[in-house]
Amino acid sequence: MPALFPRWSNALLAAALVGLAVLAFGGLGFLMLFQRTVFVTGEGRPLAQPVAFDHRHHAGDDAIDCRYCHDLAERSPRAGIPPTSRCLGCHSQIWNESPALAAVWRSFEADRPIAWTRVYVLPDFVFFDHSAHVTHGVGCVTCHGRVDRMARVEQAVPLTMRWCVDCHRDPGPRLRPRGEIASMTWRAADPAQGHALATRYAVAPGTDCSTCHR
Amino acid sequence: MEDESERRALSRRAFLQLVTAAAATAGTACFRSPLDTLVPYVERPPELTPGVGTPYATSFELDGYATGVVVECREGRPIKVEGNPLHPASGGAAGVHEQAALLDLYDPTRARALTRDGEVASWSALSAALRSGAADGTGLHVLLGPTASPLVAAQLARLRERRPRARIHFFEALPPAPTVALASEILGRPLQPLPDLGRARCIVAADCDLFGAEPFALRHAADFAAGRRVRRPSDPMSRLYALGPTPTPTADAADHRLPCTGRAVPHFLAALLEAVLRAEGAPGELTQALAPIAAAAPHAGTIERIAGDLRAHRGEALVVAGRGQPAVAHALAWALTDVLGGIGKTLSFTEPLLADATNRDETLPALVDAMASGAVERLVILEVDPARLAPPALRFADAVRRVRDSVALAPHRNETAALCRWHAPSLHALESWGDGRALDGTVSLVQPLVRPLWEGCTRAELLAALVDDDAASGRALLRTAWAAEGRDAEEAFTAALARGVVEASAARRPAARIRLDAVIRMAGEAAAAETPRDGDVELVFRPDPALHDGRFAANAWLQELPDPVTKLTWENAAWLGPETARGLGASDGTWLRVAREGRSIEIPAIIVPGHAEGSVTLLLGFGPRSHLPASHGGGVDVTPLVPAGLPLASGLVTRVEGRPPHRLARTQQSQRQHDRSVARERTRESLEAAEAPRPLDAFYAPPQGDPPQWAMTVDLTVCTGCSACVVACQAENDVPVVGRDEILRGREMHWLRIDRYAEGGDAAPRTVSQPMLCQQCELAPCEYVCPVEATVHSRDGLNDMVYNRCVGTRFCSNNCPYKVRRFNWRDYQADVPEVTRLQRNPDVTVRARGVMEKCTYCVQRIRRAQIRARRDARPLEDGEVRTACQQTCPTRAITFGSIADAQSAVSRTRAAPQAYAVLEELGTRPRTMYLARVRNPLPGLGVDG
Repeated sequence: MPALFPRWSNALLAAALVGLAVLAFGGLGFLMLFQRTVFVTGEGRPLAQPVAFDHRHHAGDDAIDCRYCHDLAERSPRAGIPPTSRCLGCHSQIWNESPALAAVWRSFEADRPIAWTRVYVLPDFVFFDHSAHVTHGVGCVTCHGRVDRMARVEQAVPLTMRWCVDCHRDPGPRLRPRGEIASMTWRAADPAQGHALATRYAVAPGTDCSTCHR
Repeated sequence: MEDESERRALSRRAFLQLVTAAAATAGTACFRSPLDTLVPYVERPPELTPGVGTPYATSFELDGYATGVVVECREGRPIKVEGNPLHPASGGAAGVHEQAALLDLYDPTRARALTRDGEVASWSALSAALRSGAADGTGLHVLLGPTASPLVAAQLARLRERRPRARIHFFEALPPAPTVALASEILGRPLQPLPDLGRARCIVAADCDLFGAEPFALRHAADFAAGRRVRRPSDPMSRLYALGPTPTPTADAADHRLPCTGRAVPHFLAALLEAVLRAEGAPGELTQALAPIAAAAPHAGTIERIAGDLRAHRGEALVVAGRGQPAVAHALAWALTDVLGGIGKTLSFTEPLLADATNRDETLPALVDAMASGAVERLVILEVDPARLAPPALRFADAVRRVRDSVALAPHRNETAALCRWHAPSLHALESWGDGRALDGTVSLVQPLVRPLWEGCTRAELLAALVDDDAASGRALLRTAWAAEGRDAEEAFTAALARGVVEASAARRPAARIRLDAVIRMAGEAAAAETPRDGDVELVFRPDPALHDGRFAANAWLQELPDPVTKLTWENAAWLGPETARGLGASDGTWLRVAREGRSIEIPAIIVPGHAEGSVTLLLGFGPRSHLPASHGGGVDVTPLVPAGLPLASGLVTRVEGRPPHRLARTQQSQRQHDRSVARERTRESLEAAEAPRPLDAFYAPPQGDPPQWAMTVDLTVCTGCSACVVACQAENDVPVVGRDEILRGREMHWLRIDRYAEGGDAAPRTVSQPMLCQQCELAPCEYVCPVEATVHSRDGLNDMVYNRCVGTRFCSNNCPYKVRRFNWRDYQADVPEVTRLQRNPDVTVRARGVMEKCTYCVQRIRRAQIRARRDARPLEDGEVRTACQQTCPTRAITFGSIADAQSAVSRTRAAPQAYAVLEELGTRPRTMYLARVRNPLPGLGVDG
């Protein structure tokens, strides 16, 4: 009885099997890698806000300290989005007729808060505490990037668990003196300084699950 | 032919379509969630820090007396109620009701608008109607519950003054014995009793649930526990005898349980008094007068010995009768305490505290008579529910229909509100201004923590509308009343608000002399009036420990809170002693017909070892409610049988033939230990030798860690099983409520449960209540079997549960010897109404379906305290982290801290000779340890009494 299939079909079968395996593992690998790309982590995407607030101007040109507006960063888990009244503390005096401030005045007069778009989104089962970081030498810029160069604020870091844990395992290189917390331009003069600070501030971030997941 | 179920089944084709669609959509689930918003304040209140809780002091009133609490507010939402350490009734503890009342604030079934004849009406129309009648108050009647609130008392006085012909009535479902009137008779002046357990070393609780149903229960429990912390045989320890028909937390805590019918209690007390008097060498005529009453005393063999024990504790002895006992029992108890030198020490008397306490003759029957005769034009019912709770023989509902303008102030459109012309929603305590008094007279303030979620008013505001021409706000009323007391300074008011209590406001305690002859004469009269009937069973009515008289029926936490004794949830049952049940041929769930004076109910039986034979306990608060979903109307309404006076009656109990037995939704099926020493007990004498540990060689090395190393101990000697910790845990950790059907499937979710074990004979078992929570084993069996490492050990000795890793294999739960892991079989959290979600603790993850959960030692509190301490650059102090269960425990049975510090409180309690670990032979090395129940029985009396 003659063969039903030509000889080369054997090679084809082998190639098909290999191809399937590559596709299966490759597909899985692609999905795993894709999770880590900016398409999923959301980095580097400036988001539109209800008020065209420009950090370049406030944090850069005017050099207003981050904690003037985000005043809870040192004493609360949240850094705090400034209340409308904080904006008008200055802007009732300067630029008070600017059309860019119309939405702020509307908010104040109608007693309706401004609904800002959240830029840094952590999953619901992660509990992050600003005060624990800010009081222990982790600067604003370390996680939020050069906000003083952002017209519209974007997520500067991937916020993946690996990114968190990398620092929790070895916080030294990311630490700075407490006085420089809000500085946008501070650079460590001596690479060993971070580890000295870790000792001085008794920085010992856990990597236990319950450090962040509760 | 295809039947219904086959037609509804999925076809193969539809199934494949669904699978394909599911697979396709699953691929999209990884993308970023839609844009979220951040909403700051327009102007942030200065006292508020977003992300950090703000505590406020306020108080809750129940049965007329207030308990001070501290409520944590997060961004304007009250999320947790804890006790106020400055308040004498609380001492930092909060009971089940104070804590669970928080859930009532967010109750979606609350009434939301003022209605007139069922239509939404305006408040000005109500004010006009309230003022419409005669200026002198003719035809105006007010009905309210007992209250010690100075504000309400002042308003009632003002009402009497401005509207002299108005009449004020008081109503309570199970009225307590009239102790103030009794004091007038045998002390010569109206006073009310105040027991002080802190000074009592030998206590007889005669049908008196000191640690549960009585006012000041949290304080009593704390004072009692203070005398029970023993570590050596030589340590002093108090002794408690508990007499009475119903097993209660107090009877469970007692060294001797003496079950007897409620009717027999006065006889026992008379016999005890006679024995004490005889031994004291009192004149013969006194003892002889008591002899006939004493002859019928139960436990006659024990009386001489108990009398001897009481006499050995002269000045430290206390005999106290319960709310459900007749006046004569109270008189005998006071006389006993007096003869034993306890007056002014273990028992004081204070001026009466309840509003109109000396003028209580205008009770509900008087009101019904007035209504039936047409004399009532305006009736104002303030936060009581007589339409449901009044004895049916009174025909309250028929009488109300004859009233022209009836107004009900009630949180729900309950039976009374539905009957009245007007229904004004009442505000929750956390939305109100007001005040209250504790049993010792201390005044505490009530302040709102949140603006009313829906419209409503308070008792005080409605009373003000009856009297005053211009409406005043609740705060203004309180402020005016405060000024009228001669305390004008605003600073003092603000300080009292901040502290929650008014300094030095406790009631005076005048000296009192008991007229022994009057007591004995009274006892003789009471005995002569008694007409026991053969064949009848005694019916004992009690408020449910959770739902009370039904006012908490809307509260899912309390509905699902297992009864401290029977572990029954969502329903009630008739409690019977084992012999009585045998006589009826009844077992658990058998339907019984209980009849009294021509009315009967059918109710399932539940056999309770330690219950008095010849007596049946019926719990109020259950049964279908017109304003609540059917799930909250479980159990049987026993009010048709409730007598008008004291909650003791005679009835006939028979078995209902042919009705299939009821499945009782209990969370603990057996209260026997089956020869495993899970809940241990010891006597004081045996404390010389420490518990012998039985650890096995471990296969795995114990995990390494750094300080702190968290651990907990639970002292079973002082645990009364009151269940305050269960509610605290539920509130703190967003523990879901699952409902009766799921309880029947064994799917309750309580992270902390209280197991109750009964040893010894069924007549008077020795019981131990054991809070059981995750034991945080050092060598945790759950961790070895988790395939995805969703439960792992932390460096500080916690058994972490990582919800986002859990895939729901449930291997961990199967491998847990303590059965403390809880699985989300359904999406229970999704069933929580939108408004109720405002209660959730924002520091805790909301668990989804298919995820395992369990006690975390309140890890969110640990981390918060650690962050705070590190922020302030100081070490974490011992006692700084307090778990929710520990914080609220009235008896301080729970100790928590680090065992890395040898001087910490928890290290010291773990070194106690009675400390042991549950199932330690398994080698799990639990971090939660227990202190065995230490008993202090009277030598020779026998633990079983």
